[in-house]
Amino acid sequence: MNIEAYIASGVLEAYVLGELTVREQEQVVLQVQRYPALHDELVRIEKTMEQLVRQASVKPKPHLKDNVLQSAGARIKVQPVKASNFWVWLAAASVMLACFFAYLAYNYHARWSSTSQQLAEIELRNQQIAQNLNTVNLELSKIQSDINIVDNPAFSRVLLTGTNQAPDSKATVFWNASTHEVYLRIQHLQVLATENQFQLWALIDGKPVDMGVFDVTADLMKMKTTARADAFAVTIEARGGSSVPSLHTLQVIGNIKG
Amino acid sequence: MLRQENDLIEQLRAGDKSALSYLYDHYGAALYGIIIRIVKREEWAEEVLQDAFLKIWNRIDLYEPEKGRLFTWMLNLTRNLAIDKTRSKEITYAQKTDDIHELVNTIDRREQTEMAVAQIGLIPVLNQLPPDQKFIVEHLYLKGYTQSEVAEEFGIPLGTVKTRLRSAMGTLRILLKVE
Repeated sequence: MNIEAYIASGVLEAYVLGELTVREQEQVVLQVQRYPALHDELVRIEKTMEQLVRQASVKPKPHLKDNVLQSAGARIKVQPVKASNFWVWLAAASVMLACFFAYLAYNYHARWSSTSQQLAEIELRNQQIAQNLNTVNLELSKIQSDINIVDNPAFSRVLLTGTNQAPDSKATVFWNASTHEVYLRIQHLQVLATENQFQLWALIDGKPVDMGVFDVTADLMKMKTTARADAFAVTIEARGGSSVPSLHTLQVIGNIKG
Repeated sequence: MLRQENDLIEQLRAGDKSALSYLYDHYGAALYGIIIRIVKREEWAEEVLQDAFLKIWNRIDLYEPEKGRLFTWMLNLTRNLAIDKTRSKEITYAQKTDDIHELVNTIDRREQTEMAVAQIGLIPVLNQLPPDQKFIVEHLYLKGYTQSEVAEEFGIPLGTVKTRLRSAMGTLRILLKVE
């Protein structure tokens, strides 16, 4: 550093007059500690100012000294706070705060995404449950209407029992003589190849009349209507049904009582 | 300084009132001379002087010897208090009341004070400086102006203010026999 130029800049005079910023003051203190020539110059400037100010002295009134000494009785201790320390602490505190908030932000983001994922799962499950409920309701109303038929005294209950070819087979026909409705419920029928289907027949005066084809199901099936019938029978036919029953495939048969 | 500055500071820090008494005897008048030139009224100058010594006494722990001499610290502290006083509400208010109620009295009193300040203002050593340097030194060291305030108020370039101050300090150093 050019010490002459530094001195000539007048920065030391400004320092002594207290005109520098805290940062500039720190710089001057550093340079003065490093270069003895600067330190000597600084002391000379200070002494010159002191001498000058002394020459400008004005004596205050004598009683003022007592006032000063009296008011200075209770010593108030002021802890020195180093500016640099303060800024270091402030910076450290800021960084810690920033880290803390970043952690909070991350934490809340993580919680938020997991919550929204959970919410999506719950909504999906809710939909499934609603669907299931719908299905159950449908089945329930179906069962309700089935029961209405089964319980209705207007329906005659015709038990169809297994023939020699299918002794375990069993089915029930519900027939309403006044509305002509026919329902079929299967208790047991054999398993068919996919190209075959069962067909229900009504025997009227010894003649078979087609009452519709069906596959095995647990539900109560609505079949074709008939005004009269002496008996009902089920045969195995090609898929789609036949006009004439194949009697050798007769599975169950039941006569209407009376 | 008659006593060693370090001893004095140690005594002040220990709360030794005789050190404060010594400080007042040796620097009170010098500080008061600056205060009266800045606030220009005796009653206010007395308040500032008292405040200044109270502050020096209470804040001596904040003084850092490696940053400068004790007198420099005391002078800057005192000068700031005096400048604060001129800016304080008390003075603004007093000036307002003066204007309304006791215009004549105040003018008399102020003129007296200002005459007194003008009289005390004579410092032989300054007369040996060129007038433009004397002006700068007076305003910076005795009247509490900053370099930029002098530059702005009197239309002198800041660089010129600095140069004149440097030259004046060189001359004063010899005149005041500073080693």
